[in-house]
Amino acid sequence: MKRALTFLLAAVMLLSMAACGGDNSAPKDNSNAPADSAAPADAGKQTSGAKSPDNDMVVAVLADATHLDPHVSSNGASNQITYEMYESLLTFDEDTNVIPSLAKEWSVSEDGRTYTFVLNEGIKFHDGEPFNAEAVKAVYERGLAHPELTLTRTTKNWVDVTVDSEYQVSITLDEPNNTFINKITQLRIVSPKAMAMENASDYLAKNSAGTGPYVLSERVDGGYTKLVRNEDYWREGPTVDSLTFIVVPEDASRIAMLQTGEADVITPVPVTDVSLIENDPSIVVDVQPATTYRYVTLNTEWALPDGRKPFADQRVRQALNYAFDSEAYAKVVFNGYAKVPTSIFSDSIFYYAEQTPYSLDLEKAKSLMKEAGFEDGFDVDIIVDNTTVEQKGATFVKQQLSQIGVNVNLLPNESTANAELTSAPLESTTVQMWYVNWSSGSYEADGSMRSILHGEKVPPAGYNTAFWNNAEFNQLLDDALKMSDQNEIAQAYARAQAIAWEECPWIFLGNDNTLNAYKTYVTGLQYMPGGVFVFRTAGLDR
Amino acid sequence: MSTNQNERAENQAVFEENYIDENIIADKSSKTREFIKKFLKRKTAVAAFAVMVFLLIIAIIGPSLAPYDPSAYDYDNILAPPSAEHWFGTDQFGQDIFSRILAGAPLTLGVSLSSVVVGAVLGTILGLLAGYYGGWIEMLVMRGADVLFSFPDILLAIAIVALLGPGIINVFIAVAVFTVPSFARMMRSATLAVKGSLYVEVSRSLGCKDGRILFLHIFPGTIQSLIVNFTMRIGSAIMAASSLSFLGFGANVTDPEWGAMLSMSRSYLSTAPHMVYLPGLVIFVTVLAFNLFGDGLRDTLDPKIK
Repeated sequence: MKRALTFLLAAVMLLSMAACGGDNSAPKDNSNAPADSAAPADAGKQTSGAKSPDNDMVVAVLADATHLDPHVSSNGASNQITYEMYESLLTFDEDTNVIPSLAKEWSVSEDGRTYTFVLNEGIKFHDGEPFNAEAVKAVYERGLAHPELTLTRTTKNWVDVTVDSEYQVSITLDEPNNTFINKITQLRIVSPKAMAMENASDYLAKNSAGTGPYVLSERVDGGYTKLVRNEDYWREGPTVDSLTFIVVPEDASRIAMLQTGEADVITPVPVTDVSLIENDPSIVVDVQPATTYRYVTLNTEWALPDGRKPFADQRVRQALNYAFDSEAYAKVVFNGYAKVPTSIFSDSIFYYAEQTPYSLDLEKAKSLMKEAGFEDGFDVDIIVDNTTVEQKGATFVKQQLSQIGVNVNLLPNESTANAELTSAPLESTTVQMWYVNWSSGSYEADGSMRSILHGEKVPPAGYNTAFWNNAEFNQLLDDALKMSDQNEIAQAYARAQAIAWEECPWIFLGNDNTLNAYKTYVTGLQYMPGGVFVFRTAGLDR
Repeated sequence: MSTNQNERAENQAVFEENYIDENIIADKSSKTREFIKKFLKRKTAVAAFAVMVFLLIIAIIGPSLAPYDPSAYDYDNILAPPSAEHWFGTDQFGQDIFSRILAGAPLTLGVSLSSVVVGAVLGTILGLLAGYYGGWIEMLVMRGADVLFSFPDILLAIAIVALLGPGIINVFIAVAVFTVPSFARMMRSATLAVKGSLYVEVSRSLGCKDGRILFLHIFPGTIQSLIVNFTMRIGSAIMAASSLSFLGFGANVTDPEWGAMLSMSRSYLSTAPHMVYLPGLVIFVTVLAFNLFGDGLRDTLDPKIK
């Protein structure tokens, strides 16, 4: 009896060990605050059970939204949900072209500082307020009054918003900025009445006050967020009755929910499990070219105990890139769902300019190390998030660099703890290498480089933990913003990419694809390369 | 004064020579024989003992038996199922899982064993002192143990590691800390039982010093329960150390520690199940062997169970 009990207990312990743990293993959006905290698993299973053919769309997602006020710093999951409730003046289409949304046309003044938008008429916010030029101005005023909101990142370069007529508004910038049109697609317009409330953010966390195709219905933190169709939508709206985002951090559970039909759409699909569903006739696996770019920053100021600074030497930085096999990285870490890097950002970004890849060449790597006086290699620490896929990638880096005697020691930690380490200024930083990724929601070159490579963006101002500071590169980025000629802009950005590619402030790892999957009966679903679905046009046909 | 002392020492020596040493030695060999006879009757415990010894040998010489370098990767042969070349298959980097398990044995078993040893030594000393002296020492030790006992083992370990930061040394400390109270409590009650026995009273009346009584006369009397508890705790220490590594608090993910291997392979549960089941099975068998052996020992040593 006692032995049977021991046996049983040991078995239970083992099983519970295999079952517990719930870390995220998906690329996360670093352009937002690193706050993808894992929510308690299965909290939203109330809506579970194999579904009968109804008209409710269920989406199983990796992480919960951190805040539903579209002007508060948030994560990718929040961005997805607020995208369905709020709209912006302009938006992107599937090919990342800027197209009209709340504004039907726009124009720019001669000096490139004033943008004029003609708005669509007869649009109402969810709370009944009319959408007009005053509403756009109110958003700008909210940015002025509340500098703590992420909204101010967009509005800080605005000097004035004028209401030309009820349906025409002009925005004036402090200086010409050719990324303005791209950035305005990320600026969500909220009802002035809601923004004027004393606790606007608290109100917006529980109510939606946008013009979007869906209205917030109910929400359980860490569980699910349910939206219902906006019956007064101003253009052709959704055909489904409701849209529910269920938080399912465990990869295998999301896959199972799709297989059983409990969920109609899942995102993301872990690359390790894609083989389970890729031959299922009732499931569509959708491979998206991602804007996520993975790299390892090399702190150029970091010194070994003997005082030598290995990463200050460009030859060492290049050697690491020659020692890194990015084709194998794509195959081993991302199951083939990734591309080798051919510039310092993904080829889906505007003004991408192709560079010659650093293909694996160990002889060259070793001779560069020797020239630089590091033929015996050195020991170095790498900071990495403690999710499975991140640790797997960093382990791969370790294996690759061991070929040229560089001994990498992994320091896996919570993403919030890493955010603290990597925001330390040069005097106190402990960062030697950082395994990280970047994606730009506005698909433009400036957003894909400035915060992570510009000399002024060293921590805590930005994420340039390579502490790389190239005067020419900085100048090109600053100048390009003020240019208006497309060819000149393209040339400036091409030159900037060539400089960074040559200087190697990072080890360039690769761009991985985002994988989503949905049932074949889901129609009209679009996905924007920046990481959001468009559910306005989606339907269920079963 | 000095005569007195000499006399006392002499008395003591005579007493020990005549009454303790010989008796115990004479008794010991027959007792040991009797114990072995009884123990051998318990087939499961014997089997568990064999497995345990085998694992300990593996932990010592295993790494040199590994057919492959445990960190040698082969990107053309990833996630391969068990085969003749790779007995336990390969992992996500094409590393040989069998070699990694062998290489991980000294890590996993080493951390667990050494932390239980340290925890046991500390707990034993505290328990002996508490049981023998009573008073405020007992109060302090036992209430301290109660506080530690009020947390589930693994939770306590996680709290300690969260405080100290991840790393295999900190796992060692955490497991040692949660091992201490169980030994302290057990040793205190064993000490209380032996303290009242006649030979302890005799040695005290002969003027033995406290230290001598504690470690030469009381401690040997408690050694049976100590050994049983020790064996039983190793199982839970392995479990705790692996769990901590599984949760990312322990060994570095690149180390072949068993719990860390499980953690990294978890996402392959549905596509390459051998990556999860084989290291899991090894942990399972190891914990089971230590627990069954401990059970067998306890049943053999406890006079109440026949």
